[in-house]
Amino acid sequence: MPYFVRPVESKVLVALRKHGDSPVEALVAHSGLSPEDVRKALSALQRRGLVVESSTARYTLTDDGLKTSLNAAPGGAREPVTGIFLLDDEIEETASATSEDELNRALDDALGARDDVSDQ
Amino acid sequence: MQHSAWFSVLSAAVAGGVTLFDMDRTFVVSGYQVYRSAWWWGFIVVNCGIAAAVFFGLRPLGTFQEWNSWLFAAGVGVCYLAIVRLKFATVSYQNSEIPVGLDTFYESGRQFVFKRINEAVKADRARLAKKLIDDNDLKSLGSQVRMDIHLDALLTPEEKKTRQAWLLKVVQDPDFDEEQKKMTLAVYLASGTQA
Repeated sequence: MPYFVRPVESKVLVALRKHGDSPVEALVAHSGLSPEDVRKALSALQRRGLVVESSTARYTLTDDGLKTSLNAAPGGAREPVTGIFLLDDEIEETASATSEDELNRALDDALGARDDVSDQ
Repeated sequence: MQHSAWFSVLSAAVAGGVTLFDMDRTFVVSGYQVYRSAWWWGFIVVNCGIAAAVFFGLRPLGTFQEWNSWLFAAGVGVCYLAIVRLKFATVSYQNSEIPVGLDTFYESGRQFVFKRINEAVKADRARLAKKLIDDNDLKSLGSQVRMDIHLDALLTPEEKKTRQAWLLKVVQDPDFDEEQKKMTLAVYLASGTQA
């Protein structure tokens, strides 16, 4: 299934890669996010198998989590990893600030759908 | 009076269903190659066998002999994993507590099988993605992704908009060359449906 890693989750992945397995408190300090955001992000990342929790309530990256965290870093390769795609702030802003009609028109232009209609 | 041995079939069937749903939740498969995998069906059969063994293990216990046979058999089918995962003892080793029970064996076996199924699923996806890249241009792949997003009934309106914004960025991003854009969109399509 395609999974979209939100910017908040990317920050947690990058913090885990830089600092190794960590408890929630350390991730809050390293990512600059609120404890609530870190917990929500960890929960989503665990469900997708990018992070695992050890018996001592510390979190660590899985292999896919490590690859995704490398892509999430500035200048990362941005190669898709097993159906995992990164969202950035720009995409989230576009989605929240643009109406569905505007998005559809932009996609028509980008994919040449209007050219097809006018060609017919 | 002991429950008839035939009810073990019900325990096994329920356990098989529980296992199938668990695997279906874990592996979203675009094609049908994995359903031909011996690992996939073998793991289901093993779980059916474990549930039947638990049925025969619990059947002689007086506590369960008063139960309705259908209820007992179905209950074993649903709860057999909880029983298999019971910890019999805890051993202290180098300041850490190590639980001892069948769970260690079951979980190791489950991971072993899931790794093999995952390899088959990944190979299946790679084949499908390659075919999509070879058979389509960027415009066609973009239109297919757009339709996939539009038709996905499990996505919320906000998620649809986010994915449309993502698609727009992928198609327009000047940092991606055409092959990278095609690969990203093909991998999206080959990744199956929303969980």
